Formats: sequence, C-alpha cells, structure tokens
Amino acid sequence: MKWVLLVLRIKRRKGCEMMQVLCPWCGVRDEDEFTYGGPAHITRPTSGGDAPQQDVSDEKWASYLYEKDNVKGIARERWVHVHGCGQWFNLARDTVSHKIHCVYKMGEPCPVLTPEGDPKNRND
Amino acid sequence: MLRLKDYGRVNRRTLINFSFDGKHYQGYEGDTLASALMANGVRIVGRSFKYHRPRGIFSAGVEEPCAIVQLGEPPFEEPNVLATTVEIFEGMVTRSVGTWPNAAHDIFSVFGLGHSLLVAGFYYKTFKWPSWKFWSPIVRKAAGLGVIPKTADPDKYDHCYMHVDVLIVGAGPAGLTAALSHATSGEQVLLLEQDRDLGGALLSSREVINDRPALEWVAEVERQLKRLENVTIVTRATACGYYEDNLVTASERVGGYLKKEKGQTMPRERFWHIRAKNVVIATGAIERPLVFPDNDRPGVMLSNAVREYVHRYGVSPGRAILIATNNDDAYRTALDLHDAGIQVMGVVDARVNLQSEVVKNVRAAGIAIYTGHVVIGTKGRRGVRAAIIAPFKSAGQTLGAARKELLCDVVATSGGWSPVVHLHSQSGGKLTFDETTQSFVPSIYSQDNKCIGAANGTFELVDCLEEAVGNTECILPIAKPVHSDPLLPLWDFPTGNRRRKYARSWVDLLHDVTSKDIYLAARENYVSVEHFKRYTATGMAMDQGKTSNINALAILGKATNRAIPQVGTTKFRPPYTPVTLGAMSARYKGKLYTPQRELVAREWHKEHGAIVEDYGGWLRPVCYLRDGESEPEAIIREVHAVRRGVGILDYSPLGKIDVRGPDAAKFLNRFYVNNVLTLKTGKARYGLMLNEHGTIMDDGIFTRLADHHFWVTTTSGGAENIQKWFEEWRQCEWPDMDVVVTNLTTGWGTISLQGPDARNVLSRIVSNIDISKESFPHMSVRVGEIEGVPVRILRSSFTGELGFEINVPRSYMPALWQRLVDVGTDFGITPFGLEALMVLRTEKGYIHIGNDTDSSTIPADVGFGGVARKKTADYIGKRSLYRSDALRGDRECLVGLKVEGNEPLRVGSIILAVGYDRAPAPMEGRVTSSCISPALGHPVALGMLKCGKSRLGDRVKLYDANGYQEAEIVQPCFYDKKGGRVHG
Ligand SMILES: [Zn+2]
Repeated sequence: MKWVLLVLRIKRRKGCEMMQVLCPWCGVRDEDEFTYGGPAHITRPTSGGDAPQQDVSDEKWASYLYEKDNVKGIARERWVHVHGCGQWFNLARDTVSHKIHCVYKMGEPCPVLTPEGDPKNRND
Repeated sequence: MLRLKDYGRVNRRTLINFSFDGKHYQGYEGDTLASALMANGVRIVGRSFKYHRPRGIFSAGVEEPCAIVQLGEPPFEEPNVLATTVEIFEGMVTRSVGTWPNAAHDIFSVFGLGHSLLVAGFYYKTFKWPSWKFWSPIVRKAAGLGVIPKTADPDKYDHCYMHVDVLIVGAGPAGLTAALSHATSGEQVLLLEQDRDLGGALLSSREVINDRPALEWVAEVERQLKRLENVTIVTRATACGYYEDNLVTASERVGGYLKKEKGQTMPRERFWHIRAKNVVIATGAIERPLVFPDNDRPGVMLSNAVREYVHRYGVSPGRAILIATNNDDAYRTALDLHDAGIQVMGVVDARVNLQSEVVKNVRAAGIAIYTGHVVIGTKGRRGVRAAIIAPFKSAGQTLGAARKELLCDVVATSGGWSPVVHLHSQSGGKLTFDETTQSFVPSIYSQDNKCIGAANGTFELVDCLEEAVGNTECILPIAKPVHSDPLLPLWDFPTGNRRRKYARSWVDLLHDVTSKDIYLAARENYVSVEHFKRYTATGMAMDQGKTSNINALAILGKATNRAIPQVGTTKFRPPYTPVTLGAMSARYKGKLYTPQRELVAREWHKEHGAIVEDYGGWLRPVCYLRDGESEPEAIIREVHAVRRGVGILDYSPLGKIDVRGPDAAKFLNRFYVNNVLTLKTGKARYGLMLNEHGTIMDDGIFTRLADHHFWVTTTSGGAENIQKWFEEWRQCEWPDMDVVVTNLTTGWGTISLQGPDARNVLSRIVSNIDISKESFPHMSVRVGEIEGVPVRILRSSFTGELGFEINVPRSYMPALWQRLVDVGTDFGITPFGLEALMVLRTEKGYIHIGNDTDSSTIPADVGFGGVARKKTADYIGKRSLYRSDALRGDRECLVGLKVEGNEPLRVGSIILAVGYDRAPAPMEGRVTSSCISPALGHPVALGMLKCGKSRLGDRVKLYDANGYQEAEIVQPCFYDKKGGRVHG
C-alpha cells in the first residue's frame, strides 16, 4: 500500500522569459520574476468593513467573481514582483502587442490613456 | 569524384571518414554532409514523406526539404539533421530517415504507385475505420521522418545570457557592414552567423567589393571586427526566436560536430538569450524553386545552391547542368559553372526580350538561352537524365505545342528570392507584398529593430551595402551597380498534355504536397491560408515552408482567383530552425530540474533507516526500516508505537507564518472561517481558509502568542502560497491595515511528539514551561526554553493522540531531536514517517487538504458548515457560501467507508449510484483516503459521497479499473470516536 500525496508543483519555465516589466520599486526586470494577478481595479463588494455581506446580491457577487473583461487592447492588470521585492502594483498592458504602457503603484490613481496607450491630459 | 580543381574552401589535406546508410565515404575538412555525399556521387539521400520517391540534395542551407538524416548512434543520436548544414567529422555515422532498408532501395516506394489515393487530407479521410489508434503505428513507421532516440542524451547543453546595444543577425555583406558601422561608434555589438564562415551570399559568388574579390573584403572586415573589444562574433549560431522587448534566442552548435570519443568537454549546443537595445536583421533571402512536373527528381536543385557547392566545396552537383529561371540571378550560376569548366546545357527562361548585362555575358560565353520557354518535365528513374522544355506565353499563361528534350543530370532552378522575414514577423512587424520581386517584405516595425539587405528585399549588392551604412559615418564599400531585367511571375501552368493527369508538380518537397493537392484543397473549400496549411501540411514542420511558402500561396491564389496579398501569409512563429530539446532544457534536468528541499536533520534520518521521498518539494522520511522489515511492516510498527507509547516525527516542512501588528487579529479574521478575534493569548484554534469562491484553500492552526502576535501553520508545501495570498490582500485590498506577514517555515524546525507517553518524554528536558495536563491543555501554545534553546510548543495532534509540536530555530533542530530521542529511550520512543502519519490521521478522519478535498469542497462538505455559518463577520469566500450551489442539499460530503475482509479500498475508486452494481453508472462519490487500520485490524477509508450524511449504514458498490469493491458508509472517524485521547 502506497500513499500518494497530491502535490501541486509550480514549474517555472526556464526556456524563455519574454517580456520585461518595470517594477516601480526595482526597475526593469525579466518577466519570469513576476506573477500576473488578474485584472486590476476590481472592487470587492462588501457591506462595509467586516459587516456580513448578505445584502450583496447574487448578481453583484457573481459579477465580481466571474465577469471579467477580456480586453483586446489596453488592459489594466495587477502584477507582483514575486521573485524580487514582493510588491504588488498595477500596469496597463496591450494584450495584442504585449506592450506595457504604464506602471503605477498600488493605490495610485489609474492613469488615463488614449486608445493608443499614450498618457492623456484629463482636461482634453 | 566530382571535385573541381582550385575551387572550394575545404581543406584537401585533411581527409575525414564518415558513413551514410551503412556505406563508408571520405570527405574533406570543411565539407557539409551534403557536399561530401555529392562529391562521392551519392544522388539519392532520402525518400519523400508520403510517396517514398527518391530525393536528392536540393539546397545548400537551412531551407533544405529533402536531405534530412539521422545523425549519430545511441546515445549520441539526433534525428532530422539537415545534411546541408551539418559539418562532417571523423567517424560520423548518418542514415537516411523514413526509409527501409536504405534510401537507395526503399521498400515503401510502392506507395508511389498508389499516389492518386494519397492526396491532401488523405489521413483524415482514410483512417477512420476501425480507428486512428489502429492505423497510427503503421502510418508512422512508413510516413515518419527521424526516429526519436530511445536513450537519455548524455551530452551537455548550456544556456547563455547576453545584453547588448546592437544585435546583428547574419554576417553577409549587409550584416558585416552594419556590424562595422555600429562597432566604430562604440556600441556593444553581437554578430550572429548561422554558418561556420562569415560572408553569407558572398561565399557562393564572384562579387567584387572595393575592386577586390569580395571574400578578401570579408576577411578584412572580420579581422577589423575581431580586433575590437566591443564586438562579439558567434558563428554556427542560428537566431531562431524573436520575442517581446527585443529578446532574441539563438541556438549555437558548439561541440555537435566533434567526435565524442575524444572526451570533449564542450557542450553540444548553447541556447542564447539575447536582450538587445536594437536588433539589425540581416538574414538574407532564400531562393524559391520553379514549380513544374516531376521537379522532385534527384538533380533538381536551387540555382544558388549549385553555385554554392562549386564555390564553397569545390564540388559540381552534375556534369551537364540545365538552368531554369524567370529572373536574372540564375544567369550568374550559368556563368560561374561555365567558367569552372562545367557543361551548361542551356538557360531556359520564361521571359523574352532580355537586355541585362549578365544575359549578354552568358550569350557571349556560347551558352544556349531558350527565352520564352519553360521546363515542363524531367525524365530519369533514379535522378534527372533529361528535361523537356516547351514554349511559354506569359500573357495567357499557355504553353506552345513544340517539345524539346535536353539531356542533363542537374536542373538548377530559380523562381526568385524570398527575404527571410521570419524574425521580423516574430517581432510583431508587418509585411507587405512587393510586386517587383514577388515576395513579402518588411513594412511596419513594432519593436526597435530594422531589416537590411536581402532580408529587406534589397537584393543587389551595391544597394545592400548602401542600406547597411545608412547615414552613419562608416565608409561605404564600393560595389558595381547592376541593371537587372525584371522577374516574371511564374507559378505553375497547365501542361495542355494528356499526360498531365499523371505528372505532378511538387510545391512542398518535405511534405510531398503537389500543386494538384493545392487545387484539391481549394475545391474542398480550404481557402483560408491557415486552414489550407493544416489540411495539406504545406509549410509545416522542420523547414516551415522556407522554399515552398510563396509558391503555395500563389497557386492557392490562382485556384481561388485571388492575388497573393489577398491570400495573405500564415504568421511566422518561432523557431526559425528546429531547436533541440536538450538546448532548451540545458542543465535544468534530473536533480537540477526543480529545487529540492531537504530536512536539517536528514543525516539522522538516513542513519536510522529512513526511506526518503519527495512530498510537495520536500524530501521526507516515508518510514524508518529496521533489519529485515518491509515498508508496510515498518509503517504498521510505527503506527502502533504512536498509539501505545510515543513516536517522534520531523514535521519541519509544516508551513509557519508569523503575523504581527495592531491589526493582526482583524487581518486574520478576514481569512479564516473560524473566529480569530475571540482567541485568547496562549490558545490555538484549527482553521479553514477559503478562496473567494468559497472552496477550501488550506487548513492549519492559528495560535495567539501575544495580543498583536500570531503564529499560523499551513499545510506542508503550502506556506509560500499562503504567504503570497496574505500579501496580495494586505497590499492590494487592505493597505491601511497595520500588520506584517513573514514566512518562517524554513527558519524553524518542528518536532512532533505524539502518543500517550509524549508528556513523559518532554517533561525530562523542559524546564521553564509547565506542561502538566491542567496548565497546558490541548490546543494551547507556550513560549519558553528547553535547556537554553528557545522553543514554541504547541499542544496539538494530527494523530488523535496526546501531542506536542516543538518549534525550534532550525540550527538547533538536529541537537534537540537527538536529545528527545535519548531521553525517550526509556519509553521506547519511535521515529515515524509520513505514511504512518497518514494512517493515523485517516483512522481519526482528519482531512488532508488536496487529498480529501478538491477545488469544489466547501466547509459544509467536511463538517464545518456550522462554524462557517456562526461567524457573522465577513471573511474571504463567505458570500459564496450563500450561493444556491453551496446551499443545495445533495452536495458531496465527507464520509467514512468500512470494509470487511482485509483488502483496502483503492483511492480514486468511484462510488456507484444506488441501484447499480456495474459500471457504467452515475457516479455519486469517490474514495479519497484509504488504509488498513493497525489499531482496528480492518481496512478503513475516507471518501466524498453525495448526501453522505443521510446515508450512514448504507452499503455501496465501488468501481475502478481494477474491479469492484463493497463498503459500508459510516461516520468519518474510526478510532477513539469520543476523542478523549488527545486530551490525555
Ligand atoms: Zn520589485
């Protein structure tokens, strides 16, 4: 009789790190130092603080869990410099060209960009 | 021998012995396998993929679709090596691929007779009955290319990393000039060349630069570059992939061409990762052949390849060479051959009214030129013996009636040149179709790179040099301007002949795709270029359509009444040329494949008979074998020792996370299903952690060491993920919480003492902690010292017995372990491994996350529904527990399974629905943990079962591939059901 423990082993691809990511704390590093953490600026529905959430409707909760934009073009994403400083930050990445247009710290406002990814003056 | 005197760059003083298909041959140092075979008069070097027609050497470079060989013998074997690029070395052993017994006499050539059956999509249409599984071994034997080596590759491979200012790919005239211009401006330059020699197309021509033979200029530039410290030149390195942010990968052949027995220590290949600020793509162009019936016979070759064999290797591919062309370049071949004393049987040119100088020179040399003619077929069973030509009118694309047979043993064909735009396209750059050259050329760039020379569609030498210099200060090398007559688009033509039915014109020689197959694919509506490619296999696999792409697109366009730009081209994907798996994995194999963590006390475990295995990345004792014991016997002995006396377990991989700060309690309360706020200092509580979907992520014990200080344990191997999970929420969602999270897993060792005598052992060495039953109850924690060493002792149990988990800074771990074993001798203290622990916890019905639970298990499924509901405050995943799916009454939940007899249930067996006693049947559950209980003497198991709680006492039927079993559903706890022992 042999026990087999189910093991989730995280395999890092050694072959090819491709993009470069600008960590706001460490500077430009290869992509494989980072982990993608899903779309940014998703607000978690709460009933305020630690209050129970029963008044958050099924629809609202389902939308939070499952209805993510799958953008063709500039997407806002959350990344972490996991094999580095360990810090989370946000960035705007073109999902077609993989070009990263801007990187901003967690908590900083989301910069407004033109569809081409250039910074836009809010007064325009 | 077909060697030419005074020609070639091979070293005729060094003879090299090699073999092909079991026969022994000799070549010279500097020969490729192709040139050496050619010099030995070997014409048939392979068989075609589907029809097994004889195939000869077609090209002289990476575009080769025919001369593919298996290189070396086990274990140094490499399949699918191009004879045209691999250099010969002493003792080299090669054989043809997909043939039996050899290329010259191949038994599968009978397939050629049934060719009308083997059309495009043939596999999809034919091998439906009985199944593809039945046919695939047969088809693969006959239709394969190289054979995958059966043994591990003992060769070494390396990865190399480099950051440069400018990467220049290709050392032809454009690349060399660009290298020089960038190098003189002081930039760090890396020059990659896939060939052994620098010079590119100049190596196979008689061009003149600065009024001297071009190769003298090449040698001079090479000397200049090698003197500069800011220039690195790597030859035999093919840039094969272009990724984001100017990352280029290249595969360099280092020791692959050296003989193994010399004990060479160099790696066979290096895989380069080059990050460049700028990339200059000077990859040149590849000639494409003309498409005409029977154009696959050995002897039909690319025109520039014929030239290259003469100039570089001093070998003539034939004795009587006919040239077929639609452009001026092939005339250079004619002249070069003529001047080398090789008989040129004529130039067959589809064009008329030719004015250019090179044509006049050919005419002056007395070579017959058949203008307005095309080759419409070849003759010869084992290679070209003659070619048939006919008049051609380009206006209506029609053939005249006249036929003429020209004797020749080689047809050198040129259909124009296609820039090597692969890297440009991979970089995200766009292409546009150039009507003059009938090829795709770079148009829009998307990264910091540029294409120059032939790769940019600039074909004449003088223009290449000028483009490479650009507006830099580099001195422009002088070459002669040339006027060329324009190329005539020529793809295929109706033969207008009754024999048309049987004459096939090859487009993709590697996959045996003929123009007929393309028309068929178009008729069957495979008109999108991506569908068409996959249906016919055109341009797939090793050569990636280097010679066939444009011809195939043009013919598909003709078949569907579209121009080439409307047909479009498939996206070029890496790699440009095949890269060995060895080069990609390099040193990351075997023990270095993934980091392996070892226990601090591993020496003790080994000395005491531990069998060690990998559990979640940690090498941990399975059990400790005594003399003459089997593994199951040892596990049973260890279980009994824990139940009856005391056992000691190295529990160090247990995840340990330190959480402190004024908001620590509030922070953790948002993660656990259980209430953290009410936990008193010095107390511990078992907790479940969920994700936002409400399913169980991890479990562990959280303890409160001080008001603002918690010590959290996670499953072994889960610590990193849980720490990251804490950090993600702390940084992204609750940045204003004053809390610090630190993973201490590897900083502290954990020794677990389990069994009725655990306290007796511990009391012998512990001094400043009161461990009596009254003052140190179950699920509490104490901080103190053992003989001067700081410890944190947690009273908890994963075995169902009285237990202490002693945490100690890792460097003290082996000493404390030894001390406990010493003082425990009187009590018969027994080290136990992971398997005994798993038996102990299964007897108790303690769940093991990831074994008994999966990504759909919610707290209620494992008996924590009440706890989860009772906690009113919000926590991660709580809202999801109120979804209808989480509330439905027929969820799978944890049950015990009791078996009569002594055969344990098999983990993974499914529980059949009520009323079924045979599979297939609806599945109502499964076995998740199983063992024979040494304490009870019968098999026990845990499982998940639909409506499990209401089915106690039911008998169920279980099934897996090994057969059927039966069991009774019971409560998920088999031993000490009242749970008194942990409080002992
Ligand atoms: Zn960083």
